[in-house]
Amino acid sequence: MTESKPEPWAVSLPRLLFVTGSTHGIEEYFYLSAVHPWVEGLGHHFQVEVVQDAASLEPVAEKFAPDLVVFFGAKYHLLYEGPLLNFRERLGVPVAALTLMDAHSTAREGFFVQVQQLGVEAVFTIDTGMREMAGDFEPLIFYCPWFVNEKMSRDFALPKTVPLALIGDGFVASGDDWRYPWRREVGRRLREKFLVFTAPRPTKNHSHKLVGAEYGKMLNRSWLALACGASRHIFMKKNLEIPASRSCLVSEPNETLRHLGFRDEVNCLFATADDIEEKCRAWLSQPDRLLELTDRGRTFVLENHHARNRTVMADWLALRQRLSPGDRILQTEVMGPLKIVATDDPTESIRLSSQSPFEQAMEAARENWRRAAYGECEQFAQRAQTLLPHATEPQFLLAWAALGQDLPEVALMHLRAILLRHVRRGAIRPDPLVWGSYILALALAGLEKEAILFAQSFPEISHPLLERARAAVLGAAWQETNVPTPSVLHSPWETVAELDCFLAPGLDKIRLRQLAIASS
Amino acid sequence: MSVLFLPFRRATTGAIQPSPTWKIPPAFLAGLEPSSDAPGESVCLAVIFPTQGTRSIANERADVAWLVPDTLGTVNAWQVAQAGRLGCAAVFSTGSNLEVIEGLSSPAFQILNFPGTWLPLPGKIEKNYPVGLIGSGFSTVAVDSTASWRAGITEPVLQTFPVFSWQTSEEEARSPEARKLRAECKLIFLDSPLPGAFCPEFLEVVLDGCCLVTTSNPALHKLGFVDGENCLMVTPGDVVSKCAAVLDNAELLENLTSGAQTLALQIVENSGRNWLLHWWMAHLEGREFSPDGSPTQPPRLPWWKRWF
Repeated sequence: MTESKPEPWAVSLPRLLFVTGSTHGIEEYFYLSAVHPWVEGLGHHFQVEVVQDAASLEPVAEKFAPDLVVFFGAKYHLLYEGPLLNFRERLGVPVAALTLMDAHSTAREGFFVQVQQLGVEAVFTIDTGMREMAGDFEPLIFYCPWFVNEKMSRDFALPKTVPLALIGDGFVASGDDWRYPWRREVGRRLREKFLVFTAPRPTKNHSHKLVGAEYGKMLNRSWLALACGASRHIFMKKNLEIPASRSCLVSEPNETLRHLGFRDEVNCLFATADDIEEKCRAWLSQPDRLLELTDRGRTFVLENHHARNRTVMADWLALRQRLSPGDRILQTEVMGPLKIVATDDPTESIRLSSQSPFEQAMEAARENWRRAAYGECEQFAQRAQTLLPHATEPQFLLAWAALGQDLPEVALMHLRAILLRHVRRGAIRPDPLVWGSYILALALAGLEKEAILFAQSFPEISHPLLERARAAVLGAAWQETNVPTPSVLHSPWETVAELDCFLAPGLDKIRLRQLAIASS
Repeated sequence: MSVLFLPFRRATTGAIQPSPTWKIPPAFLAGLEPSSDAPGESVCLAVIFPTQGTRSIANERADVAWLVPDTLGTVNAWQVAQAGRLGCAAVFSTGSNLEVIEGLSSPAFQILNFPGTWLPLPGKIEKNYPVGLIGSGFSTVAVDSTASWRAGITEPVLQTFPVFSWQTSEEEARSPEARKLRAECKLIFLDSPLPGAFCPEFLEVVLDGCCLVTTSNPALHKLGFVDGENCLMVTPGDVVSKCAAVLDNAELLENLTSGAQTLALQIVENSGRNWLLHWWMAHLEGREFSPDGSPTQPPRLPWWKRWF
């Protein structure tokens, strides 16, 4: 089934075939707030033809003659359910993906393998921390953040009756839940001192009516509303919903918001856990001045964070069409134009989450691993795990910390958990870095038969670590493949020499065991 | 003025409208009218105000005392002492602490009602918020969640429902502003400051159209409040499931709310009805007064509940 959006006045716009796949079964609030706006928003930059049924993709493409095909992904995977064919080759046009997936999702592995098989050259993400979490897939990433949804977020002209709104996950967190460290701390303090309205994220078991326009109305009733970028300091929809609903955004200061144009006391309020009470009290006592700030914030997001401002996909296509061999496309500013540079140019695309609590914990964990301080590595990895319980990265580092402490059974426990999660989220093959780690851990734990069996599996995937593990286990029986397979994870070592140095004692142990088995 | 002496006799016609400053529910004086008869032919009610005055009552006597509650709805030891000095054979009040205050030398009868005149809120109040947690004790900070009902239900409620919360003093929680905010909530969590006792906010909440969510309370049972019929009585373990069931079912919420409003209106109009007259008659006949047959009895169960 297809939908067409004929816009005779827009004949000069490039033609986009938007493969949304089936949206059946998605939670209502997610569809309203997350999926539908993209279907409409892309119409500012493209003539859009939507395809929901996989079987009609090629026939529609033949008729519509798109300049670009974009596959749409929701929280875990692409919604397209058809065969994974290289459509770039089949259709002869650039192919990209647009995903709403969180960068820390355990579905990343499956997602990136899927897009690779579809011939995708660019992955547009709303998660502005994806580059830090994409591993070898980083060159594919381009940020295309959320934009204002005017159906839900507008000035409903309701009287301001709520001083503070704390709507969303994390404001009432307790126990080990540190996914939103700033929200947890400020929520606890503000509830004791102010009249506040709180609402958790609706779930399947406990949905509530505060979604869509009702959510927007509650924000509209609120003088101040809080949001933050969670433990990775990413750009959230809330950062736009709040000002667009004519409420004043209060957030923790972070690099992402500053990069996207948010300024303290110019169009929003920045506050730490230590000064938030004083700041809220000061501004609430000056309602006229607060309304002026609120209105500046609203004007700012409507002028700078509307769907018409999200030109990155159209820009990418324009550059892609004149890209020479040996060149690549860079994104050094999220809101600015893309650039073409030579492939060997050392300039990198912008990263915005490196100062976030999660990334800092991970960097500290990796640094300690490299110094062979495996206990400290564990501590920082565990800290990262409390900040992002579902992310793979901390557990992967815990596995390598265990290997460093000669505890291969512990490493196996972590690696099995990672592999299981990837399978559950639709991965059709293991991540090569995880797979190599797993085979190595099996061999070090003395599980030779399993190590051999797994080393022979998935011969099409390759990685420097995986090749070393296979060579150690299979010996001369293994012929190395030349084409490395990308991994979504970062290794704790920075160079292959560092890896070899770490592996040497373990590989010796494996060889000695093999000799012992052979001689007996 | 600290004490006012009011003689009454059986009414032949009409009804008494007590002065608002006395904070006496009109139903209490039903069947009586002011009297100038001799003491044996009338019953003398001493209205004792919460603040001490200069008037000496050394040679005064009264049959019964009405203790006027203060702005917090409580009576104090001085009032109790005055009732004793006047030789009152019974003490009546709507004061919430009447049954626990020390120093009473005669039987005390609490009327479960407002300590003054109740007026509805002006205009139509929109129910903009699903849940209200207004008052002290609804905290998740450094609190032993097993120590109080309020602390125990706060975290599960905040983690599940949209909530309007105002951590404020109990005095401020009784302010007109707090009342208006409560009235905008569909469900209001409230328990009595004195465990198991009545507080007039129970009635105010339901009369303002909110569904009362509280803990099991003998005073409420006595008034006719029944879990699942006209209120919710919850524990930290079942608060989420019970509240979710109501918030997800508009008809159920409407039934709970309207049933409670009907009961509360009945209480407001009839609490203490004829009590002074009935006490006087019992006293004359040498009987013990028992407030039977008043709206303070639990309502009769519907037939289908009586069989199971």
